[in-house]
Amino acid sequence: MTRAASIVALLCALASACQRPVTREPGVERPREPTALRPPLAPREDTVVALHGRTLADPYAWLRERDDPRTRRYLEQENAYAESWLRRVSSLRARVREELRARVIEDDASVPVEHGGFAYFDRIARGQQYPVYLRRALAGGDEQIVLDCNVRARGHGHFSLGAMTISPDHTRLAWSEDVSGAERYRVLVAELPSGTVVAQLDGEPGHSRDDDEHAGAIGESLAWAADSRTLFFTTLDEAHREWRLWRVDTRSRADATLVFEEPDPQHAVEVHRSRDDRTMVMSSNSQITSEVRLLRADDPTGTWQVVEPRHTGLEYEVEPRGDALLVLTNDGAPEFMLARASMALPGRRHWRPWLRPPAGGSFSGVEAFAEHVVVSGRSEGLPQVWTVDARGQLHAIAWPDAAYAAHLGDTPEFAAKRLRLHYSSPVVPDSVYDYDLVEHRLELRDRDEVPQFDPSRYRVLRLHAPADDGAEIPITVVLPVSAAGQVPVLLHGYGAYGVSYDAEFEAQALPLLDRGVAIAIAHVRGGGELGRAWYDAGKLGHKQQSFDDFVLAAEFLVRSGVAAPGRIAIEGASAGGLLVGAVVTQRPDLFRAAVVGVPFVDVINTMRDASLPLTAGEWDEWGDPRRAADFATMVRYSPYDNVRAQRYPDMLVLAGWNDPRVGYWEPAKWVARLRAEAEPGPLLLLRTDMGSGHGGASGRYDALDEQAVAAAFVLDRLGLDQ
Amino acid sequence: MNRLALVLPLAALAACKPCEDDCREFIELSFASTATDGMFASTRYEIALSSPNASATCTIEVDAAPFEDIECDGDAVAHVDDGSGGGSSGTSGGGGSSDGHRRLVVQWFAAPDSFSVVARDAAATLVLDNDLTPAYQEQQITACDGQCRSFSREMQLPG
Repeated sequence: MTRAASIVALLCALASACQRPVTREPGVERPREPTALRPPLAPREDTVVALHGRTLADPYAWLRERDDPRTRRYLEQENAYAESWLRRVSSLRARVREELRARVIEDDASVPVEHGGFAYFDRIARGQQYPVYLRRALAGGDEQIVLDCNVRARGHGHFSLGAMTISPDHTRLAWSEDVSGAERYRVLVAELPSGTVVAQLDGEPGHSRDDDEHAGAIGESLAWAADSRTLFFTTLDEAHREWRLWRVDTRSRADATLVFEEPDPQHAVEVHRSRDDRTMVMSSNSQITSEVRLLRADDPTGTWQVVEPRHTGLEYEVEPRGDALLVLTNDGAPEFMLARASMALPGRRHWRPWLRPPAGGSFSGVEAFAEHVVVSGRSEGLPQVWTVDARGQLHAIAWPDAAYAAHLGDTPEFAAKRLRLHYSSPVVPDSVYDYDLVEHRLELRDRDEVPQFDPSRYRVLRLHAPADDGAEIPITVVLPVSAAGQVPVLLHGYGAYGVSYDAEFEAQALPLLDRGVAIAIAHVRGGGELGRAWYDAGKLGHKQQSFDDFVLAAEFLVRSGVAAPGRIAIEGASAGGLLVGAVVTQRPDLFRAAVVGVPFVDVINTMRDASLPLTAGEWDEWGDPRRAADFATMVRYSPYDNVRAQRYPDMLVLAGWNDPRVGYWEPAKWVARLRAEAEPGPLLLLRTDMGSGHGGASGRYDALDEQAVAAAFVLDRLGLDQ
Repeated sequence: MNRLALVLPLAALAACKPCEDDCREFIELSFASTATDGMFASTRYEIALSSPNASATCTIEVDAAPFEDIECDGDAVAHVDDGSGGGSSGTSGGGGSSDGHRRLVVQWFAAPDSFSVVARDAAATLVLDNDLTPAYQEQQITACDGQCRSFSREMQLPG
């Protein structure tokens, strides 16, 4: 788990309404501010943090206390204040919501995936918030419901699936589900096709499902052993880290057995079964170090074998392939390479280098099939999938768009000769391809037919902003074809964890585009768009580089004639919320408005508290403020610690009460401090979803309103309030 | 430096060639330099495209006159785009790139499921060796009264 999961949530936050001309000159006259309610002021306390000879005021530390009645009262006051302002734009919000709703594909089904004699697929129907998972025997017969998420979600304000896995004999389904947004799961096992639930796990032995604690709760990872009765699952420690691996016999009433406990707070555990069904694979990874263990899948009570003991900085993952082992590693290969070993001798000294990425490329994943190997990675800043032929030659799947998102789909059969791929771009809706691994041929299986979407109305640019150090920062821009001259822009960014923020199709961007707003993504350092070096150049002591790149991208958009000066809005969520929080602090003059989702803005306080989720596991990402050098870097950019008496852009800040990744108190503390210390005047809204977590609303219709709110805010602030 | 024009035509806008070409299926590859100043490392490149059923080879002088057709072996034609925004090449239906950077453009009138592209510099040194499976864009072209498959992609040569 990282703060990374919210790119989707972040992208789910844009839209707008009609086509009337701009009625005022943005940047000259600010829109009217609400008068119905006064912004709430949170009480200040004299809490301070002393570190490395510095004393940092932390006047809103009390907001972290969930049980302090003042906390909930303050958040409710903020919500009421936000709603009072949003009523001003209720008409715009409603129009945008209707436009978004009109583009929902009401009845949809996925392209079936063949596995074990069945075709598995999902379907969603008009009015349903969640999909229904189904299957049909290839030999014929009726559809069988595998899992109906609408049924599972009934009675809950939130529902999300963690993992869902079919037993090797296809008679049982195990899944993990979260009904609060807190990402504490319960595991259920059902017999198929009856759907009868035959087992339920709420946590470690002795843990109650009603416990409001992370410790002992169930994590996301699940895997069946070959016997189709033994299930492996993980549980959490108090810091929400998946740290224990358990084994349970789902056909008996015996308690689960502890298999492995990871003592290092920077490492988290994950388990899966290899595609060839012969091996269980358990990884215990930190941000920069890996350790993998293997077990014969037909011997679930056996002894796990370490592939290579952890060495700080050595990253690797393995892909069993019969008696062979493929190893993807950074061992002497900064952009990773593929090595070969054997199951009998899996250790590092037996790794035989096999394939390296082409110049300018990087590897990030490997998939083994009986007769084929598939490698995924990056090339020229864009996603790339290669197949490997018998001569060891890489064979690239080539996409024509200037910017796009492409990733491997589900191809569960080891003997597969066709590979499932997903593709989209800002002007190509989600598309499913099958790739013939023998004939090297792509077949388009399905493309979403988005209502009221005409791709000829939009165009995509891929720009590069030159930085002083010689780097070129890629920027993806989507423009209405009708755009003439400089236009208002909504600029997104992320830049963390080596995650690549690729340009996908986003129906929620269309209401903005249709009102003349360009949508842009700055692919700043800290992300993985240009490989590992790009990531490393924007983390730890280099974190400021992400912010500098984002500012550079915004300035470049103006200089190159795309963006109208003074009419740039920005958006980022989670770690991208830190990016936005930092740049509005450092360059408030550059941005007109900001949507800041579940932002990681209380950097020093969060990263010095190892009891919080993610903290210890991310010291290799952000640094540990208990170390003087790391503190010196982090304290310079931490938005909460750098609130200034300056004029900030108008901001809509979003939070989730049950968010385990970025505590609700981070955005709450930041907003409280901004209200007290920043120059008064700009609009500042805090909206805390009291029933969800990091990703916001979970149902597809519920999410539309969140998107409409963000879009209405952006449009109004850009002066496009019709 | 302004790289605004490092812009590829949209897939959705990447229509077929004009009707005088009878909507022939084709692949267009545009080769840019990896150097930030856009300069190529060699004065000449030989670019060979091949599939099981067809092949073509183009020899392109980097300093060739912009937008003038260069004959190739096989069913292909090439030209140099000088990045001035001129010309009428490409599948975008009008104009080349406009970032001031040269590109070597090859149009191969074939539509294989997959193909290899090999480039050698003036010293016959191998500088590019790729196997590609293109994701063709299928489009109905009313004016041509027929369907046409096209694929365009920018690639990079050492700078």
